Amino acid sequence: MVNAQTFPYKVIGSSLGMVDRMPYLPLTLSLNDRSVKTEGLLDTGASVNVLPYELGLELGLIWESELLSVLLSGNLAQFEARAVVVDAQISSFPIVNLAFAWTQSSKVPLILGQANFFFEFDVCFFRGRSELEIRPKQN
Amino acid sequence: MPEAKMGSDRTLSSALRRGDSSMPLTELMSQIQELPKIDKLRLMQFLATELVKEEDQNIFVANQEYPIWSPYNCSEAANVLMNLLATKQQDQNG
Repeated sequence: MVNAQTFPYKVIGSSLGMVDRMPYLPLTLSLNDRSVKTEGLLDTGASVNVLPYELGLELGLIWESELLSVLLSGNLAQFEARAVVVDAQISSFPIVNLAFAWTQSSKVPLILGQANFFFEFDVCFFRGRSELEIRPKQN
Repeated sequence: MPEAKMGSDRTLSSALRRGDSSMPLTELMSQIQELPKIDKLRLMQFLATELVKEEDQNIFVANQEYPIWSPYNCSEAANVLMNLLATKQQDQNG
């Protein structure tokens, strides 16, 4: 069994009162020969993973080459999105394939949602101590 | 010398228990001075929490937009992503 890794919540601003830190997870995304170190917001309410536009470009994705459209909701509904798959590594865990809705919005954070991030990882949130624990899913 | 030490036998806790909301701030402060260190720290924590609560009430402003980026209830998008993932993984496995 793989041991869980603990990560602290990220402080996002001191002017936000009690909600001044959020569960952002550091990870490395890779596609072909490119890789980008980034961080994703763990969003259990999100149906899908979301990749912001600029990050997709950094990974070498070409908008015109990705032809599979997906429809998103909320503020993201106004932007086109395409389905893409990239490799992701978290801590020292084995690399996994993550499917993303690659949106044309650059304002959105990298979102890690149910499909398929939470299909791949078990996560415990400890809001009281502003930490989270994560490990690959246990079969 | 603080007023509370000059003869007042009222303690902060007893005043609070009575719900004495008319206690002047100067008297309150003098009684706070008598508190043990741990209670002063608890009081600081209490006041900090109260201030945050007041701030929170002012987070939202009328007629201003607050974006919700989370893609809720996008089951169709999730199906598209999972089908694409299955196809890619089949290709990878030969």
